[in-house]
Amino acid sequence: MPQQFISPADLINRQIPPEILDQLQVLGRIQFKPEDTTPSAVSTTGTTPDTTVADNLSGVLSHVAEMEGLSKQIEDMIDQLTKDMAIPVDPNNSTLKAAVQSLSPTGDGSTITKDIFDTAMALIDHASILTMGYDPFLAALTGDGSLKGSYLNCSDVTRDIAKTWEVAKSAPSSPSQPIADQTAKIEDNYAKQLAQMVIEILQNFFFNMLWPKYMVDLSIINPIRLMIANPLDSIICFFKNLKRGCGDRAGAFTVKSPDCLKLNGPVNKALTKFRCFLLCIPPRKLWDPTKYKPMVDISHCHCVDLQPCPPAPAPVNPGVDRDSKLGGMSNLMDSLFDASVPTCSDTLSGVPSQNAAGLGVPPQCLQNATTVVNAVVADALSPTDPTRSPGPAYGTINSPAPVSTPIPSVTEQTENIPVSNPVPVTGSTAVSNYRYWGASTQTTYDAPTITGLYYKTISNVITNNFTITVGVGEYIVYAYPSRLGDANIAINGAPGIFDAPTSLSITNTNAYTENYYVYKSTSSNLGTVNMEVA
Amino acid sequence: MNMIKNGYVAGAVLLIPFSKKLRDHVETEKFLCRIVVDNDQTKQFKQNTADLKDQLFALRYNNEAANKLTAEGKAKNGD
Repeated sequence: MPQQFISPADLINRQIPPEILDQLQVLGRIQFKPEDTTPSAVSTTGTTPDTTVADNLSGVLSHVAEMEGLSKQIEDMIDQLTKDMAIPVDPNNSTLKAAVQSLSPTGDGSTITKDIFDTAMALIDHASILTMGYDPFLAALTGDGSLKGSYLNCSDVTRDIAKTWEVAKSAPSSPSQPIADQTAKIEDNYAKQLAQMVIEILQNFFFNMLWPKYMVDLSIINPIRLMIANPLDSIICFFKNLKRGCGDRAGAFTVKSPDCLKLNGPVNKALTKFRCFLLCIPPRKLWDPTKYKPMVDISHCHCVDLQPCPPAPAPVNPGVDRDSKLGGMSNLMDSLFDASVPTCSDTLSGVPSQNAAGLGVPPQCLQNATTVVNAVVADALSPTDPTRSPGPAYGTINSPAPVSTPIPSVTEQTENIPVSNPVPVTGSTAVSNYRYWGASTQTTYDAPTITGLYYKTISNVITNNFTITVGVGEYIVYAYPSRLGDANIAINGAPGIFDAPTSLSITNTNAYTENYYVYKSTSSNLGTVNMEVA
Repeated sequence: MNMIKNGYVAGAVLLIPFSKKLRDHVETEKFLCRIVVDNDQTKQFKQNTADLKDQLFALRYNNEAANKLTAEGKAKNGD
């Protein structure tokens, strides 16, 4: 049965059978399967479908719309919080200074501004297209089509550069050809490249290891020596009366050592020649001097006499320690990122068939962009100077984007949190401090007693609602900053009876001192009660 | 991470990779919705992408092949 592909064009305003939706969900092409409220188009032949695919997908569309709004809000927030970026560049860091200058020709390279950072990010974002790659979706749509645009300098690439691009018409590309065909073609190419790469890795792995030598010696040579060559050579040498001896055992009619036999026995000599032949076979076919550097010592085999084996590749720059360690790889990287070295991407001479209009940037641009982004991230991760002011709270952005579902704001902490897990004080423009409460047998209070109460939360409002259990001989104690004003405290919905509040100065864990009102219940042993502070 | 250093909030810079991944994901989902459903909401999806400062994703919509995948484009092309 021939394989059939489904064209998305065939699915417009059509019902998608549940079995296909299941497959799409399994393949990850859709995240949510619409509610199966109607039978599929296949099974309802002859009946009128109540709803269309668009109706079924309304939930998905709403979700995507919410995600879009969320994404826009986050992007606007990032733009707002980085719009005044001005990171000073170390004048001694010539690499970073040159990178900044290349991304902003009008600047002096002394400061990384938001525009420069945006240019760097745009270069990285658009790298795949600028370096003759493709957006996967665009490639699937346009086949071998490409983008039209002019050759660009580093500083020309901004976030809105894509507005100047056009998708070149590609004659062979036709939507009548299912997208699946085109994506399958791309995937096949990638698969072939991957398979080729795996083969090369295996070849290098196989022939650069020592085990071919051991495999030849242990599986073929050594058994033959022990069983055939050595006994034969011993007999031959015994009767041949060798004059060329082997150390102390020289002379006629003596037992020869294995090493002696290996060197002088005619059968062993033939066997050694055969061993060298086996070891020299792989290089003849696969010895690429740019990739293969044999680790097996076969110099004594005189392979050149047996077959033409090229010598191992010599370092490009002999004497440079880095090159000797990297095997010439550093020179390759230098040539990629050195603007003085002409490359295909510099001249675009090698890629006219892929993009005749010549859209692209030198690889040096991407290197500069990476340098700038790394510098910004390093600055962001560096320790903060405590003398600088705290930033605005995230909830106080001036111009948030209108969204259908805004980011949930952080609500006030109303739960009882044990002191053992205190809420950390974070930077904020509003002054906040702890409120303390708990049950205590004491009737007079000092700062350590209050800060030692079981519950505390950070807040700058007076309202609070909590439940507390008060045992025998214990009183309810509630303390809050006096600047918040007087409090009305209710117990189980009725006005609570408390002693007149006392004033106390308390220093919190951040060394901030403030006056507090301390309320104590008049009665003890109240059991479990609900407290409402207003 | 909420402190201002050199004029910007450090945490915002560290949030950029997540933001870009989210945008890529959202635009992919929007485009899939657009080629399957042709209604006001998906038209708004396309318009929102066109209004982005970075129009890289708009290239997916603005070509003949993509047009022919939508009912709107099919009508325009006379298919």
